[in-house]
Amino acid sequence: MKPDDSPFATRVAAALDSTPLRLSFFLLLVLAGFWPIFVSPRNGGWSLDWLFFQFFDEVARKTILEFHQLPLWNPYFCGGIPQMGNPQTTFLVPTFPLVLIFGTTFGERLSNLPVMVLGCEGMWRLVRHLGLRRSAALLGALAFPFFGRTFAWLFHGQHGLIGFALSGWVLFGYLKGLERPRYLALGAFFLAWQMCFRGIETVPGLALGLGVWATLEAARRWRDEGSARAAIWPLVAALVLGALALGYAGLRMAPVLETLLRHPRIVDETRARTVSNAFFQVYGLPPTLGGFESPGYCYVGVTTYLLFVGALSFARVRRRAWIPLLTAVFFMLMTLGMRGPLSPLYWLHRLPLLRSLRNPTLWSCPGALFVVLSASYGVDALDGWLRERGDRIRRLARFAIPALVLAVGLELLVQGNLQMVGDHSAFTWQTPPRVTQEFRQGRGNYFEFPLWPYLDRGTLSCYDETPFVASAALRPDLPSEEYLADSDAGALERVRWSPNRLELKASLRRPSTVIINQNYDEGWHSSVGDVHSLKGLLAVDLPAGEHSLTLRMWPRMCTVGLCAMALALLGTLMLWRRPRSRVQR
Amino acid sequence: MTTPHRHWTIFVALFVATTTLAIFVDHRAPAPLASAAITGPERSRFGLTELRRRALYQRLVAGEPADRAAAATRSENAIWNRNRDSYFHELEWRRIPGVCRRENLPVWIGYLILDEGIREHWPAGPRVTLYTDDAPLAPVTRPLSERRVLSTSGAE
Repeated sequence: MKPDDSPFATRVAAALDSTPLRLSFFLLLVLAGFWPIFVSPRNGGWSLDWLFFQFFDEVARKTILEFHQLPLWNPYFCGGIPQMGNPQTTFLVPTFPLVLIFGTTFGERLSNLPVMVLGCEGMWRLVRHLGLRRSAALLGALAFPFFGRTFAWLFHGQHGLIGFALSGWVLFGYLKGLERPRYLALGAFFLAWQMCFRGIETVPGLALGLGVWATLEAARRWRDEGSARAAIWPLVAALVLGALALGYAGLRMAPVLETLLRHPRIVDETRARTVSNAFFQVYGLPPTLGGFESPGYCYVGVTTYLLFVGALSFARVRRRAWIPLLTAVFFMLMTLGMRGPLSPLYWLHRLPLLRSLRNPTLWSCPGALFVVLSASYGVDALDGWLRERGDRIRRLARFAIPALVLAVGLELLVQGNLQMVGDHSAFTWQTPPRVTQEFRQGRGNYFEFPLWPYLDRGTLSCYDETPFVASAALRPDLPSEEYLADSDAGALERVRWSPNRLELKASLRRPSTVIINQNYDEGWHSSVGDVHSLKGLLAVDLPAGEHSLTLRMWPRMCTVGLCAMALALLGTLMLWRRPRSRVQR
Repeated sequence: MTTPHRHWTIFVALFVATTTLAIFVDHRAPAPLASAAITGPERSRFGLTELRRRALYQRLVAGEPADRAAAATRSENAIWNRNRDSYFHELEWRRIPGVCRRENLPVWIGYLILDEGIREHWPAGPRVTLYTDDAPLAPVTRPLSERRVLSTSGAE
């Protein structure tokens, strides 16, 4: 506290320094911004995306609550596809209990609240760790988590992508971990959270941002200290953080990586953006509800954008903020898209996992994070510069700068609210009642995704961006979902059905094949006979006689994932015991 | 500097208030349940006799030939889909609620009647050939590179 600070300013500063008061403030802001989520709690979102993600979470919820099983397999979609290994699912995250308690439609929406509050707090800590003033930290805590995409994701139903708001924690854990390695585990935890929260879209961007930051930090250390040991540590730390995150999320990421490698999503990407769009319109123009091409796609507030430009323009700020500035510009160049060999995306799009990412505009999301960070340096410099002026200006700055920052936050909240309640409510799809009956495959309709698990029906009409294998022999009109290839060979009866476990009773006069009206997957194991694929369907060869047949689903990559989790925990223990890094900032 | 207990009290109070609000909102809209059991001599389900369901089934599928024909003349516009008849399902998605509205039925009952009719092979009505799908189903979802992307605007 400086001697010339007024009692009011001192009290505000003390309140902001208090973690519970700060969290309370963020919670109030989030409630104000997200109040439409409390309207019509049983309704699903209006868009196909909402229905898509409601469907996957409903299947996971049903599997856990009704069958007391881990959601490994989704028999309700395309004749059965992996649920744990599907990159689009969002159930293995700390907020999923809200879905279990409050139901899918309301629980998914409520999940946004803790994520956003934590997102604000993560950005606050990151900016403070960078040594900037409270006003700068407040800008970071408001402008990034409340950036335009946050509300558009909620409106359009891109459930899970809001986990990107946790990126501040990842960077904070990384930067603090450079001094005290145990903090790498903190960053890894939040990265793992993002990975499991449909991170297929957001994590590659954040990982790339972290990689660029680590490289620039390594270059800085090499320049300043001339030591290879000092220079290599930021790169090693980034790798440790990434490996730990993969380990924490192992149970999910091992099967997901197997899916991605087995069924790569091939995107024939040719789109390019204009310089004006990639460098300005995406961040600086007020948002609309349009898609990728729309202005304000990642709106961070006009003031924030001007502060970013200021940080870029003034050497005094540029010297301090060069790492986030360069990283922001890198993502702006990425957003330019496929503009030939001079474009970074042209080359990066050839890498195995990045190849499956479509649309260059998506790279503006990590861009927004670094634009906001750079703007935080900008507001910090502006605050400092004003405080160096005369008494009157200094007194003015004490109120004007925080007011400016709060105005940015409020503007983003108002813009977001207008998006969600402007034309029509985001939540208009009426969820059907729960109709309990024997599970059967039906013709279904993928435009009504979430309907089917509520009705105990699988939908053979389906779509998914991952090209999962589906059998051409699946039928929606069978008298029984389990049958014998040779119907005269004996009798087959369903004893118990659940997504991961089928219990059947077979009485066979001669050897025969049991066929299940679901897709074959290597994760299926049988208590009797051999499991194999018959025209893509799940089938078991049985000898003659009486059999109690149990089919269980356990993907072998889940075992690999559990081992990875154990290793990651071991690695965390080692980090915990490690003293402060000798290489200081 | 230690954080005074009253600061945590404020946060906990806000957290409890938010949770209470969520519980209140949740309890005001309980998740409904329905039975799919077939009961009585008229084999009633959802309060509809089998005779009525059969009649409704015919109304639900009456528009299929026209939708199939329309789907065949137009290019698919979904970026990802498993079957070539995604456009048919899009048309069906608009048609079924329309029939349900006219018949004063919830949409989910309409779909379950459609499901029952297909499974039980009920007669579809004059001049209606019913396909269970665009058989044979494509073995895998086709990669994006093989598809012409007609539209990417609007929601992602």
